[in-house]
Amino acid sequence: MAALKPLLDAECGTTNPLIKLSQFYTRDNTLVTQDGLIKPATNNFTSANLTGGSNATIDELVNEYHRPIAAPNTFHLEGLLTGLRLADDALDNTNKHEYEWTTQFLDSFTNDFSSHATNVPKINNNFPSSVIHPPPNQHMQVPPQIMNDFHLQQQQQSQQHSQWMPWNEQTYIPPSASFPLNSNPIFLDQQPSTIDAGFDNDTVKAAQNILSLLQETQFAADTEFKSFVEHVAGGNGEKSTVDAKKQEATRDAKDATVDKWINEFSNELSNENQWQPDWTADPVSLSSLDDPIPRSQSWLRHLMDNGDNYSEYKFAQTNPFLDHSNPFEEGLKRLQAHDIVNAVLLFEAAVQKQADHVDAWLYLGITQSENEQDGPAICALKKCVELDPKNLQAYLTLASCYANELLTNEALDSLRKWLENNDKYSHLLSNRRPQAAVEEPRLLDELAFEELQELFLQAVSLSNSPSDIDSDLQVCLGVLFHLPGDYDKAAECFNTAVLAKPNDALLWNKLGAALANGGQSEKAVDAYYHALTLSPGFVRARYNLGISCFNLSAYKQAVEHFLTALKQQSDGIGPQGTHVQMSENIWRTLAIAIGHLQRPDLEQSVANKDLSKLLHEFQIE
Amino acid sequence: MPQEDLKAQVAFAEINKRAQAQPTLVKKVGAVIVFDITKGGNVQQSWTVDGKQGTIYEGKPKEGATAQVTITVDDDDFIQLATGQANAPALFAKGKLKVKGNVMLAQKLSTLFKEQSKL
Repeated sequence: MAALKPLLDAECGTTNPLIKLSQFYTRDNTLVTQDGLIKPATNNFTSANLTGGSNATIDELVNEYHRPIAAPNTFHLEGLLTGLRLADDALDNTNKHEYEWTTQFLDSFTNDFSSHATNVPKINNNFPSSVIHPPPNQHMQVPPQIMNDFHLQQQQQSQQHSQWMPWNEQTYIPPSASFPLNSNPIFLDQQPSTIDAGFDNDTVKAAQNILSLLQETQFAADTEFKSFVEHVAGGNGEKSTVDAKKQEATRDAKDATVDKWINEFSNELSNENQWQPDWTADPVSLSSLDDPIPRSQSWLRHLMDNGDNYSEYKFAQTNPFLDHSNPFEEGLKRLQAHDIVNAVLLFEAAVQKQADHVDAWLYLGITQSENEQDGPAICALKKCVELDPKNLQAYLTLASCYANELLTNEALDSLRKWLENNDKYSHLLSNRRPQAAVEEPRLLDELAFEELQELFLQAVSLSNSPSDIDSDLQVCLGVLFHLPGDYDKAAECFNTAVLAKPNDALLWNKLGAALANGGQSEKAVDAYYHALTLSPGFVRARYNLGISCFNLSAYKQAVEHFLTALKQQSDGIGPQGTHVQMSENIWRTLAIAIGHLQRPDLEQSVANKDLSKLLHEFQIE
Repeated sequence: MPQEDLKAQVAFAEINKRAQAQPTLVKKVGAVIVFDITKGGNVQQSWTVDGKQGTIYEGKPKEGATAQVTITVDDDDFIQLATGQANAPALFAKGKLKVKGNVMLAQKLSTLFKEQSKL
């Protein structure tokens, strides 16, 4: 851990300012231009939070993250209002309007994640209203008044934050799962059956506050918002009245809009097909294969071909644990102690002793994946589901491994199996028509993707309260979004998962990977730091950390991280192992990083995999 | 048209180097993607990433291969893309990158330009 401090303090911090600047451009402009729109510092991880705390315990960090769970609502008042102010400023208005807001609404499900508030203004622009009533063409006049009302001074966000944060964080929790990815982000929510009975005093008081402010101006005299607030202020929190109110106010609007949004979003995806279906006109090249699988099913062949690569697990040639009396138990212990490499060997011994040991195969797969060996991981996990076709954890891990290997259709398949075998959600599938045979082979089977996306969205909306986060479901969603390259959404999902399980190093690593692949290398580094603090032997996280350093042009650090990872892998085998299973990926990336260091003398060592020489060269003990 | 002036030339050489170290890299892209690199508004040179054959070369797709996606981008912006300083969706949103064909197939391109972090 101490080794990582200099990383965060000094060198990785002094990144090329141009890269930093360009990173801003890869994110939404409003995030930059509006000061305090969302404070990244209040977000989960910055260098400041972390370096100050190499003394900060995990508990402190955990407490930081727990807090936001209390305010998971997508209705973020000050965000909404700032958004209105943004609209008023008319800075980037055209961009916002062009932006396909349906995609944005899907982004808006998490509470604290940075892109959230930036999405809110977009939603507000197109929003068919039930919250702030004046029709869209008038909404430009609205903001100043609201701003005046709700901010007793015309000051900046900082004031506003402290003033209104308590209101937000308090117990007004939108009745149904507006968290996360609920179809309707407004707090006047639609699903009547899931409202918690009554509102508590704090909410009532807050509502009274707002009401008095509203009444001070004549603005919003007739809005539904105001009448709703009146309701709440009257302490009249009964389910039925609010229900009735909300239902009539929003039901039709909601059904139409929700369907519209979902449709728009799916249309967005399928629109792409209409542009230039060159590839649909190109079946010829596919039919050059003579085997019995028909052309229309060449995706099946593709699946089967890849299946061959992962059919047989290749065990380590020398395994000191083969005679161990209880390798599985010992493997679990080593895993607890973060000794990944030896855990792998122990699990291998366990399955060699007992070939139908489901959990041993499962853990072997998971651990190999942590060990940056997705190939063996996939083999092991496939064995596991052969023996236990309902093993959810195996499917989840398989999906991540396939995603890493860019085998997107296999990943989709694994995600689907997770859903099918999950008692909480399998009923969603029974409502589906059976999937039609795919006509054309696609890289990413878009129909399957869209269908799975919709299913997962439904699954998420099943959760009864915003604090009830199914982190596995979030991981599935994250992997799903990661497949077509939607890294920002993927990162938000993983962030949500991490909120529920802040001590799970694997989740931190996934978060980091999604951030890194989306170009946010600095944030990724923070996430990896978390993962490695929790699990110092986590080879994959260290490898990813090296990659992020590389992307930040910190080549020397990158090399050091790669070498440390390789050392951890080779240490595990012990002195008698001549055939050391080190990860090809790490060697390959090490080679590229060394290339950037302009040290041709070292390139030969890398080619020879002369680890000890390299370790010596970089003074890694 | 002097191709030596194109920075994309250097970028593609780098990518090729990486592809040689990792033989399955280009195949993982899976589709035939053509880059039309422009400078000063006109297309100067094209490169083909043949994800089916696993090759990258200068020029339009050879006999037997059809472009499934064609990306038109300026030389400077392409360098931004190739070095990971900008990502395709952002460039696309700014109108600096034009895509013809199935844009979903282009999602895997990022794996060519930089190392993928692992979930």
